[in-house]
Amino acid sequence: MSAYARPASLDEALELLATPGAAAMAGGTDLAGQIDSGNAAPELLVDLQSAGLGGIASDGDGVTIGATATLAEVAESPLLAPYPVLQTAAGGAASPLLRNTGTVGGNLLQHTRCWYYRGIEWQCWLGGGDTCYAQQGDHRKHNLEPGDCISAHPSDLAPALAALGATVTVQRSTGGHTLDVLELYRRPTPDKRSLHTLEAGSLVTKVHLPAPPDGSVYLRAGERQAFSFPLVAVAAVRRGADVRLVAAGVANIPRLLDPADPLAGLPGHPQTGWKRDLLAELVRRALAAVA
Amino acid sequence: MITASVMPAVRSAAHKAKKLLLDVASSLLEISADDLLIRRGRIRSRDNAIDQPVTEITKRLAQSVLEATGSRGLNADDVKIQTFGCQVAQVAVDPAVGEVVVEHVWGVHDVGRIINPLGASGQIEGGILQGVGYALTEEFVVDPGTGIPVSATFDTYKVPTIADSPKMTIDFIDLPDTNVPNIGAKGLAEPPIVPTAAAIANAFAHATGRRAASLPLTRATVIETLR
Repeated sequence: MSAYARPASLDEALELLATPGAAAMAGGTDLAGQIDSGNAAPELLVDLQSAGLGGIASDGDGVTIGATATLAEVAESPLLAPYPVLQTAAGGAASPLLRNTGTVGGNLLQHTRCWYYRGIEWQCWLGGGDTCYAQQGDHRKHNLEPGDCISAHPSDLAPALAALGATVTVQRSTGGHTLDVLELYRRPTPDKRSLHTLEAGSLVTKVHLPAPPDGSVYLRAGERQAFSFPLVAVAAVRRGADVRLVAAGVANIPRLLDPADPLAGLPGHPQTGWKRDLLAELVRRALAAVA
Repeated sequence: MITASVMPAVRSAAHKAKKLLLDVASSLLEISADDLLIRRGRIRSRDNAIDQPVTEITKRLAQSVLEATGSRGLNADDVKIQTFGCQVAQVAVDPAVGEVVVEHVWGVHDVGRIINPLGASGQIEGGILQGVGYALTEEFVVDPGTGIPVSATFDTYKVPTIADSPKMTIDFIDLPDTNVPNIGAKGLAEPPIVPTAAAIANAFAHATGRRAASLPLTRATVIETLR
């Protein structure tokens, strides 16, 4: 049983999050599943909905998006219309109900959908166990990258924001710093089975977008026409002659791709070779769309 | 099957209840029951001298209840009751990204007499959508090492959404099957599920020139089949 707090300011939230066993909760759509499956057991839920972290606002040439802005708000905000890659990604995620609840910060920091990691029967390597059951079991939806864990990253927003060159502000009670979206992520290691670089007690508070690009597109391949995590998704953003490509679903974390050799470092696993074909085609279409 | 198995008994019970009601009306109105008719909620004498709502009679029953029971007879020994149907699917395939979209399904079924047209169409629509799931997305995946299901939730076991629902054109032959006791209606819920996946898989083969060896036609299966 968790204790619950709803701080009325960022400072109060950061103070509560400094407590051991505290977990930040925004929409709660990922956290609830993590608690259900036994992957998380927070002693204190710090509900951020009154902490003043929402909103979408113009900021110089760019736009600042609060961490608790919802996916629906991102998909519909006129301020974000010059960033089609982001609005397509936000509008295609999950279902209308979840987009009304799920937030930008939560989407960036969500956990993998790996059915071994999520399944209550398994204590997999990523969850602190000894074995990546996916590698010896059914991994048809997993990633393309060799490693101790072969789970795929499911965030729609992360590739879009990373391709745009967005930055993320991270705060803790002792101070804050700003980093590139991709710096929010790390591949899990034996001594730290985590997919992000946040230290305990830290909170993503906002995302900053630079000026709109010259062209951008988000292409996702899901399991059905709606309400599916992307199996593979590609965000492409062009500024002048420079194209930045970032993919979901192909590595433990959002993956920056070389437009000239997008499959580099992604050999695939016995059951995921089809994702290489899919990734190559989505990259081809994305590059054509932003050309 | 509920309609086919229960409706004959309901109809038989309703027939007996109507006869009871006519007997009650006969004594209250002092007229032979043979000279009374019940139509569209009104009770009327053959010479039209009496014409009033049935409720004029039933409200005089106070707390009494007209009770009747009915049952369904057995099917004939030498006849097997069968339903017949035909379904056609039209699909669009985007081979390079392994995507199959079911655009349109036509379903025409002979299930005997149609009692409730809207309900019957709904059964066909539901059956077709279950077939679309079977053909495209629904897959029960078991971990090969332990036998534990890994697609045990609606997160991992994907049923179709309304966005996956094709256009549907539905029709019925609507001829009572005289071999079925009493009403001539046959079972309907499952027949439209059966041919849907096969029709979709055949349309996929027609579109691509390749036949998938297994269902569902997920992106993985489509890409591997067309490679």
